[in-house]
Amino acid sequence: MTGSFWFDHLSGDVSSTGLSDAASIVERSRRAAVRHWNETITSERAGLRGQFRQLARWWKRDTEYQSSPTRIAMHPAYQRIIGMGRDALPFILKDLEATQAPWFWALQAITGEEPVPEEDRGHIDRMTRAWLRWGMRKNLV
Amino acid sequence: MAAMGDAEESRLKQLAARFPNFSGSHLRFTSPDDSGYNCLAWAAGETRRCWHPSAFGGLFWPGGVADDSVAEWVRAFESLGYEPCPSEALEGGFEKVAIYADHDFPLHVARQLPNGYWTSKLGVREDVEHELGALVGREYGRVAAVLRRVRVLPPPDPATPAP
Repeated sequence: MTGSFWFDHLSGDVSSTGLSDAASIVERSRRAAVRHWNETITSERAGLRGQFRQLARWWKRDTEYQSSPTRIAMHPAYQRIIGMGRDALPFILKDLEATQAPWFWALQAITGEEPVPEEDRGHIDRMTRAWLRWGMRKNLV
Repeated sequence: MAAMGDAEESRLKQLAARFPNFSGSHLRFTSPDDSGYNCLAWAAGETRRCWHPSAFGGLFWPGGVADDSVAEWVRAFESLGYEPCPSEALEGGFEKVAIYADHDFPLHVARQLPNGYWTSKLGVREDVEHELGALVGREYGRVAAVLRRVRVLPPPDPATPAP
């Protein structure tokens, strides 16, 4: 999620000096609304992060001995993470960087992109770097 | 044989929970965990990348993207010089691979060692030396195909006796 989504530029204190009583009331209401919005989004993000961690733990525990990438990707927890859509991308990329877990199927499914060059297919370290570079270009990491 | 460490004992318990047929059978850990290659690559003699035919996942496959089926896994090993054979028994001068599957859905592949045991890469975890039947079950299904080719790899450690 980018910084602009958090309305940082609107959340600071604004002096009401020189405003009429009516304008001050409007300004206070606006600031309260911004605070409420940011708290809601923060809470939602924390909820998504927790949900992702829980699902990722479940998926990794169940599939650590699985040899079939198809079966690994069809695990219900993995599918639910794909179902989180683009909101899951920062969490996936962070976990990919830390663990090199097989997130490539999910990344392709969510984004519809394939930044890995043909000659790097299967090289997990190179595939990881390609996706992290993609994430940096998209301001996701 | 050296005494089994706590860590190895713990790993064996985990494996026995996933692969009930391991109990009482030959099992030897032969590598640390490594997510840089998978069972298909290991059976083909490679440890630098992961193999799989799916269009998703971005993995390597000889011949390019294809169906994820037993027939396609067989075709890939045929491209490496293997041919289908009827028996999993050790044959002098031949190297064999066994494809495990749930009906037509391939789930794992193991390679036979010169001592008659089989070697497998277990998911993102370690390589193990095992009996073929030890991996049959819920995780990997049953042995659906066996292929062989004239042995081209150097013989591994012969210290382990034949089963």
